[in-house]
Amino acid sequence: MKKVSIILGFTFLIIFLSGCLTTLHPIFTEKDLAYDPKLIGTWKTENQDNKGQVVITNLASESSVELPGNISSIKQKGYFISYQNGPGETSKRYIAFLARIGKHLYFDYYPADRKEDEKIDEFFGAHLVKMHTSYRVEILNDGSFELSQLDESYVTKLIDEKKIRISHETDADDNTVITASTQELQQYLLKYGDEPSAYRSDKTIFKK
Amino acid sequence: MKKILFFLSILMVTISSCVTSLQPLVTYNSAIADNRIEGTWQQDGQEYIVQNVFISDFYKKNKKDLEKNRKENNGQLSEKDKKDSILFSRSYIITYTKNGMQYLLFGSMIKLNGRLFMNFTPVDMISTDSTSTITEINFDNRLNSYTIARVQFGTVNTMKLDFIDGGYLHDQIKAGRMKIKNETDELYGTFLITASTRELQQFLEKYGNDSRFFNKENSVTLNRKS
Repeated sequence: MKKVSIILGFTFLIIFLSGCLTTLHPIFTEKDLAYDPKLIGTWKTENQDNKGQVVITNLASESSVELPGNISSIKQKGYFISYQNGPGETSKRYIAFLARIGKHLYFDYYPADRKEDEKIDEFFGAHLVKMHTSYRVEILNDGSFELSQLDESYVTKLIDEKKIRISHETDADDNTVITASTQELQQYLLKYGDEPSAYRSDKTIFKK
Repeated sequence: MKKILFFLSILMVTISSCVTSLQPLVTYNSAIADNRIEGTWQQDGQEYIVQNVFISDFYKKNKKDLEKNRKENNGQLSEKDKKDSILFSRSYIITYTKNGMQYLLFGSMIKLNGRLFMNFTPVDMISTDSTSTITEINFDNRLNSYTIARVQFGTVNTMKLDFIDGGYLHDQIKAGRMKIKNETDELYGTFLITASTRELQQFLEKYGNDSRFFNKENSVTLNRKS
């Protein structure tokens, strides 16, 4: 994990980036959605670092989830995903959509808030823009599935070496922020979707 | 690893639609210090403490880390550290506490066409109440950004902050009546200004006195307490 301080030379708010690729725009449009009801349920998860439990429900059945923008119009095809560290303990929640891009399935994750959740101060929180993270989904014969997260360093290396043209900005701390449109992101996935280096090595396996 | 915990909170100001920018409006070579902003301010019973960065409690608390960074660099400041030092000397830490959480913002001011503007960005959040229900927030998928406000000091210890009306700006851009580099995603309701620092400054030089951008719904008046 790498630390990113907001003000250089001095650690102010420390944001821990896991090396996963985050994007400002989603990777899907409505026509790409590939909702699969078989993903609904409680799953045991395992990757190289830890084990846990994940509960996946249909987004439309979760009336307490705050739906951003126009997500309400496609909530029937969406998921609400809760990662749980221990009994009754939830660590992360996401609004997610399964999309087919080329020959692969991908999950688009977006941080979720519930209406009853205790929230950060609105003004302070307005400065922290929610980003999308994406995973390639491989559904296995036994019904389990694997998530492979897109790797940030692979994209930034391509950008640094001028091997790719993908919309991005460099922020005040010299971090690369991917601002590519959905169409551009899909082009990236079509081109590099089969490239193992484009994904982080630690796959997460979901078993019922 | 430092973990940041979030608690329940309410509004700091009644900002109907806050627009944020990826790039700062103010950089080390354009920041100006104005000691009128320093002190304790309040609005509707909520206190805000404004301190110059170098004399702020937060800086003092973390000074050791800074010295460590310098030590690792043979006691020398890098070019970027030098620029940051200039920016810090002309910038402020704004601290306020709500519902068991202390919030710290970094604020820098600039004068454009005779008007003062300030940009804010988050610095830290510190839990002050261990009994509150805690939700741990994962910052992996959050992007830090800046808000911009016009600053007007009143004659009797008041300070008015007029934040840009994001809704109006978004509508103008969408209608093609105004141009500033941005990223908009209608599906998720994302709207982020991605214009460069210079473009932001030029934009405010042009519209900095336009009341359509700075309406009362996005304004807050703070009263000096001390």
